[in-house]
Amino acid sequence: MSSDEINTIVIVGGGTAGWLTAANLAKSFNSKVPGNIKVKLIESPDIPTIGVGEGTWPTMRATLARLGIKESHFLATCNATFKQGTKFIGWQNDQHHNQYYHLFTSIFDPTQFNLAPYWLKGVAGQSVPYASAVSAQSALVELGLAPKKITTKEYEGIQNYAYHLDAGKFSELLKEHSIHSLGVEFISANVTDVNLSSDGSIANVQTDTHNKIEGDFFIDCTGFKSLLLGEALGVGFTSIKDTLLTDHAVTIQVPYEHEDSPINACTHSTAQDAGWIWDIGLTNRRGVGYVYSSQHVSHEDAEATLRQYIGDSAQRLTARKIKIDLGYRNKFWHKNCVAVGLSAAFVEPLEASAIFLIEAASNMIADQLPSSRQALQFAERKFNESFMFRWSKTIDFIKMHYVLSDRKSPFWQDNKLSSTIPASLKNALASWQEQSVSAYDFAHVYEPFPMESYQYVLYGMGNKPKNIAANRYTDIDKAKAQFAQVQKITEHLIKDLPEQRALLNKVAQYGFNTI
Amino acid sequence: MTTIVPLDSQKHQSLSLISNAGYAHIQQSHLLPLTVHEFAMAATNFPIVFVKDAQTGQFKACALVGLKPEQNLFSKNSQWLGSYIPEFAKLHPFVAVKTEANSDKYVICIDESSESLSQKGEGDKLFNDSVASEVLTQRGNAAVAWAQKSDLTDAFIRHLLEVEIIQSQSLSISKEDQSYNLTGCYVVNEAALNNLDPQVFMSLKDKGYLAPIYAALLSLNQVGNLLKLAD
Amino acid sequence: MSSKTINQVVIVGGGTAGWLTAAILATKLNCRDSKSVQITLVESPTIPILGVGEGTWPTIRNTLQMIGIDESEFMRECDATFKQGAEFVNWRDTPKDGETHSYFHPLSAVFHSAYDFNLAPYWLLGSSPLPYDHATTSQSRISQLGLAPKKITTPSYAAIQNYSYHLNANKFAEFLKKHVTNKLGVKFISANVTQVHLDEEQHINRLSTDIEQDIIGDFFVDCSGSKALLIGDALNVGWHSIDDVIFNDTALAMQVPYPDENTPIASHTIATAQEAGWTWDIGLHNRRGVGYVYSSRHTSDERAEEVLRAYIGEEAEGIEARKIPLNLGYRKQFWKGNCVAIGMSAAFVEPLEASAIFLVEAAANMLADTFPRHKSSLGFVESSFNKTFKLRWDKSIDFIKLHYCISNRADTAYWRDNVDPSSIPESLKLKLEQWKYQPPTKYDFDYAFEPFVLDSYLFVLYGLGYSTNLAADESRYNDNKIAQAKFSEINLLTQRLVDELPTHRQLIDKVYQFGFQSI
Repeated sequence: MSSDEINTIVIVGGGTAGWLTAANLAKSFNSKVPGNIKVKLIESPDIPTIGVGEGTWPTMRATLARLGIKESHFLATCNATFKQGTKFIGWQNDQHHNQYYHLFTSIFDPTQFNLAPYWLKGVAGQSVPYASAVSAQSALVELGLAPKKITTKEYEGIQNYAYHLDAGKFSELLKEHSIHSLGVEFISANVTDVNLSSDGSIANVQTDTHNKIEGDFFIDCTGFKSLLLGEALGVGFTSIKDTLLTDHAVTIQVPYEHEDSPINACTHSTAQDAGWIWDIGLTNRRGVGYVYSSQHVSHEDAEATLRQYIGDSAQRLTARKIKIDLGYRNKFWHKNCVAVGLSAAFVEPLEASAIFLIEAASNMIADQLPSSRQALQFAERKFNESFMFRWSKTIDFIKMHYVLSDRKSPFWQDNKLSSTIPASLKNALASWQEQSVSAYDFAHVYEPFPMESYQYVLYGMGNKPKNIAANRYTDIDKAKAQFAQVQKITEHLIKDLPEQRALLNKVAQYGFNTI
Repeated sequence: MTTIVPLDSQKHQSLSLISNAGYAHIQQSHLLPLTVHEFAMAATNFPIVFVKDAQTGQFKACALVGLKPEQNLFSKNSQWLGSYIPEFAKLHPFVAVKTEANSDKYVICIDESSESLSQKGEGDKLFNDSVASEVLTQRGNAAVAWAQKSDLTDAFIRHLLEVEIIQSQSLSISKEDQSYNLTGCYVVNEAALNNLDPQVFMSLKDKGYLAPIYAALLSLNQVGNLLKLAD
Repeated sequence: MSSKTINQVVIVGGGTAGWLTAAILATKLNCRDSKSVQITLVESPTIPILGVGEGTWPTIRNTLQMIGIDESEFMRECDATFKQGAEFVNWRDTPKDGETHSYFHPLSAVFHSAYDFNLAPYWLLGSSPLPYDHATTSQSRISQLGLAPKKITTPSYAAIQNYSYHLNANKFAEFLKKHVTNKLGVKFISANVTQVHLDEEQHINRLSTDIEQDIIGDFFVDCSGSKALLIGDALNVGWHSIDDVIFNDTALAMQVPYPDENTPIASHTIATAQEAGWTWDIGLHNRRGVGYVYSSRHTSDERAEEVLRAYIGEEAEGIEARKIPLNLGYRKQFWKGNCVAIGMSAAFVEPLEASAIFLVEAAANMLADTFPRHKSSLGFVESSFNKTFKLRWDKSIDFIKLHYCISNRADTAYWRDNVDPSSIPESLKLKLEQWKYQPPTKYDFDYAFEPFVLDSYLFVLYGLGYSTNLAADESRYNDNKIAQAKFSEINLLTQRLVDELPTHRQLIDKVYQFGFQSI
């Protein structure tokens, strides 16, 4: 065997990032067959996994299906629920009762026929919100309905959906599956040292109980610490605290009042004076948290705000404070090491991009990891280019939510300072003042947020182009027909779909069929 | 195998025509051409559909007389089981063909392979001393008249296509254990017809197209008749 | 109305670029509405259009349908035939003892390698005994047998196998002109532009011509061909030559009639590698268009004509060859201020992959889709248009160069110079280096408007026998059963299509006689 070949991959760190990457790679390389590429994962027995409620993207369904996990098993073990988007409450301004939806499904594909200019012209009706005009999902979510029925086959949706899940339990599920079904070798140990070879790549890692672990390729899933890429290889970190101002989160787990209390069918995100509060419904409890800027509110006041949001039921519950460093590594892949998860980058959870970007990274590694070390440089270049792009686009998109707001408190005013807004976002927003968003604005195949997402947020926040050339959009009949079709489908789905809690109970009892 | 050739008073001198030869020539056709003039009558017997000619891609109107290719449910033991017989079925073995694409002159042709033709003098002679017999004149005129009506039918279909009220429809028919799936059929789309611009709709009326359009629409209910015959 | 609104668009130059741009703009901007943009096209009555037999991309079907053209009428008027891709003859190796090699670059693969299933690694590992082009698509076999991509009963513009057209470019321009001026509300002026006037912002605001009064406009499209009257002469945007990458600088073209009206018509372009370039061979309805694209640095015009005549054979006797100089490269900027260049004024890459008309469609579509109705929008569109098209041209050049730089031919200085690393763009070199160890994947094509996609690269790479060594990596490709099933599915489909489809000539004759139905 030539020493040039890549035969052993060592992942340092478990958690969602570590285990999802391990599972994805072991599945791709068919690692359970001896002689194929080996995947080893070293996890510390001492560091507890932090279980916060988290949201995923719809891509998670394909990922889980590919890994060979049954949807009902996943739902039951991770207390998972169906997520159909995010409801943004109070983001537009300080007045009460403003809200909009960022959804997963539009009925018609806007890159084929873009309804937005017609909605802007009022063809859908004067007071119809954009999301309700183009999608059935906001009505369904308002009524707490599920995106599918018990007769729909697993991982398929009548409406597109993602999940809310308990991240700690999710890692446990992936760990169990990776070890027992996919052939990942698990090493329970603390990494004490990282040894480099003469060319500056990683040779092996020293552990406290398992001696040296050798590998050809290393994946850093050690979280904020970034033991391999950051500490051992010295790749620096770029903070984005000047752009996204939040730096702390305080969270509380809130049990349901009754075991049949309804479960929200989307994430609720409510704007506050110095940040925003997430509210995620799992099957057994809600996960609620306040992401805030400690420059703009004291930790005590932040906790008080969170407790007030939750109400009386918060009284005997403990709050947990987490410091968050927003930013990204200057490189994600260096020589024979790539960072996935928090060790690579972290942006605030506003658009639930964290788990999605782990999926995307591990998919790209699985597809692009070369068979020999000689070719590593090509994969490194491509991966870095691709993820630098994805992270900067993610940052732009999140920042956009703040920039478009008319809220008046200092936190929101500071968010609108020109110096805090990336040039790329400024340019995009300026051009969307002139022209409505079009497919040409999304030239990259791996754009993390598609045109539809921007439309939901821009039009939800009330940001409209200055002029819509009246005579340019002449297919009014087609637009009217499509808007009418959306309403018809909405009415039909309201009658057809069960409530989220009712469906989850049935799934727990019967499961979904695979056909 | 049909062999259609122009009628020739020398070559076909000795041929004679057996009347009442039955419907052997259409025994294996599940589609029979119709002219627009026949729609009202045809609609009481069979579904009227539009199909593309495999050779030219051009649409023609047809009576659907079977539930699958090569099946004619109406023709049984030389008997016709319906109250209406498409004129086309009665032309055989004659057919009128235009001398040139845009001409209004026709030449009468015959299917030499037809079983209704005899060399042995059975039936009526086609020629008497190289002069067309009364039977031939009468049948030849019928063939030309049918061809002219067929041209009008083509214009009718072209107009329906132009105003976009024809659509493709695969006919899925099932009854108990049997199911049939006929592809390649086109029918009038009632919704499209109802949504026509009033001016366009009136132009259909002015051309006298409304009656055949509604006849074609109603005729689709005759699928039930086909199922009954298939039992 | 405020002076800041853009109301008058002036297109300078007709030809395929000018008229196609006018048609797309007029349709998408709804110019028949008097409140919309008004379009004027100025065409010189004296300059002949440079029209050779040309190939298109399947996108043209959407374009023609969108601008309201009947397919059968278009085909009859433009001597058009169906094109199902290209066959590349003798590109892999120097032909020896009369033995030739060829591969197809068809327009459709049965399974989309980026979205469905990438068969390439399984083919590399020997899962199919057939050459790559026949293993992964039915279309190579269909074209090889001279069959059509559809039947007379298939509705117009619909396909059984993906297709585009070969057409007579002069007639196509005339046909578009008639349609655009009669039906789409574009104003036509026949005149020579004599002077271009700029305002204080360096925007074009007026054109002087050799007739009547000046033509005033708010926005100008330069379709004046390689002369580039507006973007080059008036706005001084420079030209970036690519003659260090693609050496061809001259073409010799001939029109070759068919011996009789039943001669089969090839439904693909035949591109045959020659000693100092390659010959194209395109079958129109009434004649073939044949030509030799070559590097004058590597051969003489006399020798080139010999090569072309030898390729055609006896049929070339008595037919004159027309020489056309080519200037390969692109404008340093395609859009400047209130002017955009489309067609040869913007760029020209040799016709090897028939991208010229496609890139006109793409440019006109982007111009229409992002058309600035206000002067304040100009800057945004300018930067995104320039970025997009710089990328598209660079990527087109990479792809064309690929055909030359991985060839094993070393019989002449032309082919030896073509593999010289200094002539290969860095971006292509990097990719080729990586493809030594793994086949191309969708990650290599991360741009949404990539002109040549993964499938195209696979057809060319493995048609030319590029060696990707997967020996160390076999374990990764463990979906063997699926791959086997897909290969046999493709085989079955091929057999079915071979039984079902008419010959190309038969279908063309029927289309010219009867036409397609719209449904």
